[in-house]
Amino acid sequence: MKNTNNSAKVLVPLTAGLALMVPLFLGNNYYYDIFIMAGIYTIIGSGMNLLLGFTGQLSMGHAAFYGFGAYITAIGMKSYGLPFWLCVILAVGFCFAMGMLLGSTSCKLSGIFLVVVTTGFNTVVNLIMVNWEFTGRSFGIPGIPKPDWFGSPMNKLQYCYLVLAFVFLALFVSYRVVHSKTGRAFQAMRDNAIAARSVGVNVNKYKLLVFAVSAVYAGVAGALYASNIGYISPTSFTSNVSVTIITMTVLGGLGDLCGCIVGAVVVGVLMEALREFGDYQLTLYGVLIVVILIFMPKGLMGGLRSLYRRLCSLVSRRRTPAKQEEV
Amino acid sequence: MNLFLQICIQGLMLGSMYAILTLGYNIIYSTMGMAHYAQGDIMMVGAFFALDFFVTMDLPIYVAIPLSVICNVLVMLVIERLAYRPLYSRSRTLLLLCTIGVSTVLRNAAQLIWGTQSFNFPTIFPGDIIHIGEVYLVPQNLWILGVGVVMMLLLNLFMKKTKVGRAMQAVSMNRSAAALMGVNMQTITMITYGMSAGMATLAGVMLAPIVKVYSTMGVSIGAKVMISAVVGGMGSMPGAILGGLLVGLVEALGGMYISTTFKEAYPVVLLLVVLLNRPQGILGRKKVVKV
Repeated sequence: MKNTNNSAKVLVPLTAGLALMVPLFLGNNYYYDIFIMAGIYTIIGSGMNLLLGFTGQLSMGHAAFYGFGAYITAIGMKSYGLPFWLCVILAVGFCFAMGMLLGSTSCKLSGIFLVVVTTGFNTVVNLIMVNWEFTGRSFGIPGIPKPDWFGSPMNKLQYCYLVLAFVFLALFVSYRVVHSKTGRAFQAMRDNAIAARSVGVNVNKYKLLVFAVSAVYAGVAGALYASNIGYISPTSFTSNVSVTIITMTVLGGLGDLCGCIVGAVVVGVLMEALREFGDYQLTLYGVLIVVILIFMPKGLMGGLRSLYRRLCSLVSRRRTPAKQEEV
Repeated sequence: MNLFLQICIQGLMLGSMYAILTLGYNIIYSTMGMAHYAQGDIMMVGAFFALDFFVTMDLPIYVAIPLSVICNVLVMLVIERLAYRPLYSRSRTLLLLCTIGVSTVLRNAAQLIWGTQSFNFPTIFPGDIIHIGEVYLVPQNLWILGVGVVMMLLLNLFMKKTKVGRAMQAVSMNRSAAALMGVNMQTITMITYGMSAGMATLAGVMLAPIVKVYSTMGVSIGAKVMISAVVGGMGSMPGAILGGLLVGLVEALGGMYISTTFKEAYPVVLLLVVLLNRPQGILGRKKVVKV
């Protein structure tokens, strides 16, 4: 236990420092975009991880929240000339409310029932996006401006750091939530909702809360996405995207805070690396979900952790053979 | 009034196919205790097999349909062996995630194999339009309705009269007790999946001339199947039929009298209305969950 704590003390600043350094060496817009997408996926993945990994609720509707964030930012910045930060706040508020609304179904439903309802939610939201004049119908919204940075629009490097700031904030909030009373309540609910209720956990309150919070994560990710890419259309927010979000959460490791970083980076980079084989991409995601679930139930991060532990024990055994014999 | 009748028949026709699919879905749910998210995609694969055998290879229909049923059952059994079986002993959420993964694989693999375009499927049952008063009936629709009803009756007979059917019911009531009484779980599992895939293939073939065959046809139909299962009551056989027919009716009537753009949304509204009033589904039984 002490060992892992010590390693966390080294690893967290190391990873953060590395993440801060990376944008400086990327050099061109293409690599900036990959970096930004990996950051956006980390945010949305850590929201999904709170919901699926820590409370065990499966939502197929997160692409809808992602879409809310993106559309609010696009319409706010383009049509009403609002500043970016205000759009983010609006997106946060709206997604929180919608998350509560969808989350209220999760108080009574779980498993497949929740999947059916959230899939339906995503379908309806996508239908509205495709058919409403206000959201640009199926053409979407082009020409979304970048946020301002002291009077001039941000360049890609600055945007990388903006995304990174949100990533740090998202991970910090997740960390604080998971290691609090609330987080322990979440995990108790995941393991056994009735038992949790019987020891005084207000299950419905926490279910609403976790749904709303993870919806907010998705909304913030959507806001960052819209402003970076400059053009959004309903096809970016179908239930396929929800599957991608679930893929990276499972890939990284359910209930593992670092997992969503690994999952997001792997999926973000894979998506680009497999661009040539665009058709194979989603097939591969499906195969990845199945293979990871069967062979690595704790995800890539869980695999890495057990590898690290094995290495540590190997090293310590070499170093102190005498002590081992004493015991 | 005539228009209303005609739309109702249209809706019942679609609904009977949803009901067949939902029955397959519910067999898996009640016997295995798992929700099979990929049911719509299994149907899509079956429809593509039928397209290959019937249209491309030009085999007669009474050869093409059994062949595609056999192929699709084999596909289903391979999936069960490779993807589902290792996860039976783990949490249900993981199994559900796994079926979502399988559905993604099937959908996109089909796209790689058969392409993204939608294929026309010729009518299996040609014939002239029948007039009854002022109601026009397409023979194909009547046939589909008839096939649906016959399949439901056959399934009912199978579940009640045969040894295997009774064994399946026993498993759904109490898994471990059934195993102790000498029910071979492996055989029952394989028969369950095989039957489900076979029924999905038949429904796919019947639906193919109406909705065309394309790689994402399983998405919307699969969603409707899950909605009908929940509306009727998860795991209940009469519930599956009722749910399927209701979803078909709501879709057809909404599409006629409100607007066709939001066709996919009406079943969702039905789902919400039912869930708010009867969370266990119309004919479902309330489950008592113990710690």
